[in-house]
Amino acid sequence: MITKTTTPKIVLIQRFFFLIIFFLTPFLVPVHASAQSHPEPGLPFISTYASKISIAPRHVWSVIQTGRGTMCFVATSGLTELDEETWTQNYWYATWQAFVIYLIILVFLMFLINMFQKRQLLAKVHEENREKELKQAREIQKAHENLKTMQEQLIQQEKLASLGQLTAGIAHEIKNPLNFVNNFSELSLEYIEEIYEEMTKLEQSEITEDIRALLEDVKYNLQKILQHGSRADGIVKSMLMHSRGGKGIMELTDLNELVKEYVNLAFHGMRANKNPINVDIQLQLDEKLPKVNLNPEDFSRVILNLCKNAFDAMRDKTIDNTTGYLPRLIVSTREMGDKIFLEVEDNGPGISEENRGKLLMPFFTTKKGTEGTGLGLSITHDIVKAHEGTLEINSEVGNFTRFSITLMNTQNKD
Amino acid sequence: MKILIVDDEKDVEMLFRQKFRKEVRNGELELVFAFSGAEAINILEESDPPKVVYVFSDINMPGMTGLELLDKVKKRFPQINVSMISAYGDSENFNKAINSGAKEFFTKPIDFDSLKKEIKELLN
Repeated sequence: MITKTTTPKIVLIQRFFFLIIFFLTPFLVPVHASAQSHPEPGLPFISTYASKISIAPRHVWSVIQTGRGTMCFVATSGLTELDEETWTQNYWYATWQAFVIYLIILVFLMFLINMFQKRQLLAKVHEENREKELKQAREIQKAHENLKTMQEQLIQQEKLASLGQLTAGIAHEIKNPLNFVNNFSELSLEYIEEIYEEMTKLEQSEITEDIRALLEDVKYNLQKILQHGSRADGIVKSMLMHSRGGKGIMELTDLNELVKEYVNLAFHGMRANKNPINVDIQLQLDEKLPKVNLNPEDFSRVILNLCKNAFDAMRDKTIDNTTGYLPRLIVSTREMGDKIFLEVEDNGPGISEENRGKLLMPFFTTKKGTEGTGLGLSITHDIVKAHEGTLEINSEVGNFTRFSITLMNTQNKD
Repeated sequence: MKILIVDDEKDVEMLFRQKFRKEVRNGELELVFAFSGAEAINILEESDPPKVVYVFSDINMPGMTGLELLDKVKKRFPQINVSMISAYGDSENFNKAINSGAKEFFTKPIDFDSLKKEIKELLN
């Protein structure tokens, strides 16, 4: 992985430094020697030597000036037999052999240091590269994770979309047989009424009484068939409503009025149904709220759905704890800059973290048995989305659940 | 007055017969049923001019759809009223039917009260 790198400056400087040392060593050595009172080659030697190689002594001197080391080297090789012997004995460290050894040692040292440095450098580059790679790997992993979550979301959306189509198809298919069920049971009920009328013309006896009682049972059964058929029809209708998507007219609407009307309706609807509960309803409406561009028909469903859910949730809590719990529903509207807020808050049992994620999915319900279709919040979410709004859920288990809808303040735009 | 009802669901016959029992009994109405577009055309062609004055047709049927039947009937017997009955009350079907000359467009589940009203108007 390591690419070819140019020799760093520091190494070059080091080499140069060693070169200088190398040439300075012989220069330093005689000084050292003289400190130990060994006579160093002096002027008489220079003149002898100069004459020997037939150049002027000053030239030899200049050589000394240039580098005594070099001179020493030259000197040792140029001495007479006698001189050489004494010289070698006294200045063995300045002989050319010694210098060769110095040189070798130096070269060896340089080589060692060079190697050491090279290794260090390599390790450093290696480390840097490794870190870079790690960083890249981390980035890639992060991107990969992002991609994965996005893919999962897409799959989820795709599933929901196809579920919607499937729902519409199934709804239509179910609608037809369901209509027959409802129509025929309705007709049969009419017939029973007619039979009653006809029977009054008969002579009354025990037998007619028996028939009457049986007819009463049949009538009851037919009513049940019609009732449950109508319930199924309601579910199918809401499924179709769900899959049809946002249609209808958007118009500037007084949201406060809509809230008042439909919260009231939801409350009375709940009171009229089985297991009514007492709820303290608090409307905190912003009196200065501008008109909002929305589809009143669809949006009324949102209010109804949210209220109905709140009532159902709070009903569960009243069943669970009887100690002084008073169900309370707060519906508030408020204008904030270019946004309009609508909040529906109940002090019911709250929604667990686990369920909160699935809340908006079609057919998800926590209600028992036949009480819920699991479409209410899903439809609500779709309607809010169609209004280019957002639906947010805040909840604390045991304390409260708050649905916050944010809509664009269209009046502010103009 | 002869009325033709076209629907691929056989039970529609029972339903209509029972719903219009009184009108049929006192001779105001005569109900004829066809379970496909082709069958409906055959019934209409039985006599010339056809005795049928009003056709109620489903849209979603195998073979000839209600809308195709509507086109054919309107081309050959322009004097016959045709109304559509469909579970799919979307604007696309509605516009197609009305543009092709359908008199009314009823959505399922059929509101028999309005259907009766429609027929009563024709009777008078």
